[in-house]
Amino acid sequence: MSETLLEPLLRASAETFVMVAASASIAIAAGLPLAVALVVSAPTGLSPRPVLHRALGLVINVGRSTPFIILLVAIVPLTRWLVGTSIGTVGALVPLAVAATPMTARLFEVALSRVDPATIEAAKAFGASRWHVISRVLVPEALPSLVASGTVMVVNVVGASAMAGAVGGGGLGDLGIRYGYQRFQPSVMVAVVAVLVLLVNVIQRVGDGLARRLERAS
Amino acid sequence: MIRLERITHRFGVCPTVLDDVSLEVPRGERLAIIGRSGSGKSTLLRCVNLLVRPRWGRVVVGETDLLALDEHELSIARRDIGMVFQHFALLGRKSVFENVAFPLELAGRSAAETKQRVDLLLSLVGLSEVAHRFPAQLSGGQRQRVGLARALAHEPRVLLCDEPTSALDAATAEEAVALLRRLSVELDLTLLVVTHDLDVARALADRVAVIEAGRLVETTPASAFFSGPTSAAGRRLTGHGSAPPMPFPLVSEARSRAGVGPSTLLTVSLGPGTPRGALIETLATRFRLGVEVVGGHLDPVGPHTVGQLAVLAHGEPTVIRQALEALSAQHITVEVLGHVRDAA
Repeated sequence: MSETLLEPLLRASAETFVMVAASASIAIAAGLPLAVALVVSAPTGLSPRPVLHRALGLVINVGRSTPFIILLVAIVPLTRWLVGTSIGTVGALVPLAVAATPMTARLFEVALSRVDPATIEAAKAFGASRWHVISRVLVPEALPSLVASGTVMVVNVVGASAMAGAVGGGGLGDLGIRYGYQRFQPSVMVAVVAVLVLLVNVIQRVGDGLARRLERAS
Repeated sequence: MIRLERITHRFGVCPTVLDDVSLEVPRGERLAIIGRSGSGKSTLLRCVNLLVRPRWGRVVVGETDLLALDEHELSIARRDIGMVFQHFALLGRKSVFENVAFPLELAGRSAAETKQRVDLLLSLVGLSEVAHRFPAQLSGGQRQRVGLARALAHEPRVLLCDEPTSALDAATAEEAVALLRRLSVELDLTLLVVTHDLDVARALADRVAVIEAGRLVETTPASAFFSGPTSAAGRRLTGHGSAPPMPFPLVSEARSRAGVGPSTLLTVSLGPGTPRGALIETLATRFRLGVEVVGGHLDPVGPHTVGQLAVLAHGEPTVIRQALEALSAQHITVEVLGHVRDAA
């Protein structure tokens, strides 16, 4: 691999890393409360709110069913308003976070609803308020599966971030398309894919290891 | 201590789960609530601490009308009502110590106070050595003891047990019952135990309540219940009314008209009021009859022995009649099934 290729590859990797880390963090921060709201408002949940539950579910489904490439373009005005630009790493961050949030909410919903209902009942019996049940039982008990779900989500965001390259989003996808595809440099394409494969593997390993360590307690 | 008034409940549009159940449990009593699965007994138990909020009725624990409380007041009132769960309901990611400390933390107790109390509770249930293990590393019996220690964290006056032994093997269940019994005495607990296991009710309860299809059909002192339930549902659960195990040829011979002979086949019901040794003393010693026990079952209930026996009495018919009169004078219920030829 030539010197001239190494430098853009490193820069693109760093951009991808920043994009994925930032948008995944936002998705977790927004997705966890949404998931909690879904589980708590469910008909058999801690405080059933069927209308809210269905409305939330609908919004999340709309978010999830919109293809990322369409979402990317559709929310350009929102992106401009939020971060001042719709291109580059920062410009790709907003649509990535918006796309990852509903997915995270659904994944976390599954993780939370696997918590043994008896432990929630027990907490209530011992004088836990609703907030206590959520913060001391529901989320902590689900932590290992939340981490495992989060890993799936992050890997998904890595894939989506490569797509953001198509609209000038920066990062590895951008590099691959511009050099590899448009300039006919297959070696760049191969290098980009290799870096992505490596990145995904590292993420999966770290996530699995963390989930297992959290699980070991039980 | 606990007063349930006209509790009626249904889930959604399902048929009524509890139908006009009224029940009073005095302080310090141990009450077993028995019934078949789906009878509503677990729902009734959950009405006592409002884990299930009945649609109608009143729930009074101590002096407090629980349905009148707001969420915060209720969470404080619940500290006085411990609960033990069928599948233990321990927090898998917390250690034994942390599980028992959990109710105290919720109440905002200081770390020092919590540690002191948890250490005491763990020694009370014999788990001090495993304080830092996690639930998955414990046996079923140990997990249930963690659940019990946790239920006792706030020194409750009432302890609710939902099928406390059904997830345990027989020997462990026996230990758990013995522990519950000991602690209920030592800590002066009012105990409500939901169970489908009659052995648990027999070993633990002062009084037995029978629930069938959401209705309370019988509440009877335990010793009387196990010698003869008054409700049909109770008899179905205990197997009373069905004949005690006895040699079938003898029964059919006694019941047939052809059965004539010097031996009389009797079933004798022994209740808590039966003087000890009265049966054999009366038949064999006083009336000098030949006595042969050919079947039956007996159970210890508290200090009494109750159950039914099938007995062959050999002797003069007039003497046998006199003996039976003497037995009924001592509150021993006897039923004559018929006569048979000498068994020998």
